[in-house]
Amino acid sequence: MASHVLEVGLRGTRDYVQGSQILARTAEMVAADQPDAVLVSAKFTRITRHGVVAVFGEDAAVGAGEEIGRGRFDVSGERLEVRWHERPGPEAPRIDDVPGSTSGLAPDGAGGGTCAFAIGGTFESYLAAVIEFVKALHAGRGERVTDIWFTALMGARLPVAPAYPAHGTLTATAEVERIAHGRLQTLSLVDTTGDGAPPRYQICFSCVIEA
Amino acid sequence: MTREEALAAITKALTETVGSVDGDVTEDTDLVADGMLDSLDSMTFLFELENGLGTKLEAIDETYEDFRVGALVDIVVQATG
Repeated sequence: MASHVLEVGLRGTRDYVQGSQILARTAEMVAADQPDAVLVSAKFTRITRHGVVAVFGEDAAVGAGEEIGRGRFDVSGERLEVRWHERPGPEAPRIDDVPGSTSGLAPDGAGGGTCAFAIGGTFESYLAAVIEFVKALHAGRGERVTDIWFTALMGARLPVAPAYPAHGTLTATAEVERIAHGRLQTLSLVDTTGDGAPPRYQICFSCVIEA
Repeated sequence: MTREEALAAITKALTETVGSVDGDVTEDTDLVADGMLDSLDSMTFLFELENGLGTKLEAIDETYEDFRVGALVDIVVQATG
């Protein structure tokens, strides 16, 4: 599939391109050829406010800048690896924000919690709901929590096709917490309910908690 | 759990985390310093290790930094009796 420039933007007041946008645009590209593909893992090592290039397989990232993350899809039992690189040049264009899609946030007091969601059923709308939810749980840890970033998901079987429930609940269970480079890193398990809900997977975030 | 069994559990968790491991993992291996795990991977590794053992490793808190396999074997052996 070679290299492709992704149509991403700075959404709302954000000064970075969301990981969910990068994943969604990549998933749409994969779905065009392989609608049965699933996202298995993704890991972002840095953020960017520039454009993003997706490089599939072992192709060289010709003309692309620094690598910002990697992901893996499962296409009919075959691995499809992708690397994301920053695209040198101007900043990504600013685009409209989208309304939130979660409600009834109920923290469990141990770093996890539950919420309800109502989405359009697409990969991007589902991922946006999950990130909104887990981000809110992190923000609820205290008044001085800043720079909350979605950094990775693993062990997933997230369809690239619009196969997600329109309504349901999300539950996050905090499993591992570590402090590295002055940031708190967390790993939580995400469970989803609703018609056609994907199976449990792991999601990682990082944030700064000021003393 | 014996040291050999603990080493096997650690190697399994490492494989689950990074997919495949180049070369042997011994008690002298340092998973981070030797480039097998980055800080994000270390989260998954600890999750997979605790999951595989079926127990929480209380000695590994959020500030734990020693990813020498020998040190991890000590912790696993102690935690599993």
